Amino acid sequence: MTAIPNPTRLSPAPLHPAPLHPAPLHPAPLHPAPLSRTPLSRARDAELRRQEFAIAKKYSGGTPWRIVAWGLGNFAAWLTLWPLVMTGTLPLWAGFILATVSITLSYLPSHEAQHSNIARPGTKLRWLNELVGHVSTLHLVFPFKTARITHLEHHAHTNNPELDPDYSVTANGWWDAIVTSVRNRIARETAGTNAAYRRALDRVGGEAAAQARKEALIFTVSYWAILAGLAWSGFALEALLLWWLPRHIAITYIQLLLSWAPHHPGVETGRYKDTRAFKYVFGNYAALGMEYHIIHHLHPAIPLHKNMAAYREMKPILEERGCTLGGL
Amino acid sequence: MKTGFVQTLTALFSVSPILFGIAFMAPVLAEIMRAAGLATPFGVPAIAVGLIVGLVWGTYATVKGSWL
Repeated sequence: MTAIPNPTRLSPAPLHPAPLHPAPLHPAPLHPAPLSRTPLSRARDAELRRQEFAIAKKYSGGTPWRIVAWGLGNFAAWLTLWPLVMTGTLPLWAGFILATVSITLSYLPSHEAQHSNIARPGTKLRWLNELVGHVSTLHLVFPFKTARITHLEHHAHTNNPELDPDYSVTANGWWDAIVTSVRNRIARETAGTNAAYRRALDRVGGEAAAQARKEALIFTVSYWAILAGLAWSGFALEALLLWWLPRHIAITYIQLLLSWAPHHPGVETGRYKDTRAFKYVFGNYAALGMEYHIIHHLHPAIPLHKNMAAYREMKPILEERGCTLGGL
Repeated sequence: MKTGFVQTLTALFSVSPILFGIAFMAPVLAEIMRAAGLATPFGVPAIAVGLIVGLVWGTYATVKGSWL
């Protein structure tokens, strides 16, 4: 992914006008040269590429309705927690657990929308793609326009310390990654994904980045106004345990599974080197589907729920390419 | 007009930890103290304790650039 720390928090810098160069809203084009770890003849490289893209084509396309339902339904479910807890129908501790799960699950539908996997530009259901993108991460307080730009920058520059907006979560191990994620937010604006996302928007520039900054500003101000309003209206613990704390737990988990784990150790760049498959001790669902994230980076048009099947079919090709597959 | 708006926002964001301390941390701390049945020193209202802690910690975070 994408990391998601506190992307909406704005320091004065993002409010300045952006430089006027076009925004690269598409991931980097596929490299024409062989980029495998293992030496391949030109003919073999071309053949593997042909097979790989034929498999990818099989799994791409269509409208992933389950992801639409997930994105919109998950946000609606989180909203219903508030009256349930405020009226005493649901205990606050249960609301806290459910809110944490909901916010943790909020990113992935937006992620599909960022890649236009729900509907491509110019198609009849494009509005639905944008709706899911905007709505699904409202409670994560992750504005869609910022998410899309920074995530596509992540794809274009994966593991590049200067240009990958998600590089700040790089760490030596699982625990280090958790500590780094939390520390980046404790350090406020000077480090971590917040600063990296602002730099990415500055770099991309143009109207798209300017719009993203405006949206992020509205998100930030609205979030804090709502939290403060709730807290001073006698719902301080509800604000804390249904939103603020679940969001921080979710950000940590999302950064761990979506940003750190698939790109660890984060030292190599290149199509077949910058992302790995890995085995998560709690399984692929708990990993938010990220065990097969290598498929996503190779072929972002394959929707999340088809990554596993595509991986199984593509695995011999990836092995021959020398990809890191983590015993999966 | 736009410049004034941007300047105001810039000023607010530069002290955002203090705003967080007062606007959110204070009532949350007061509620936690009440829920936990903690007695406040000298009978000071829980919200006053929350405001003092929120203001001091927020100021620290603003000056240092980090909450810890």
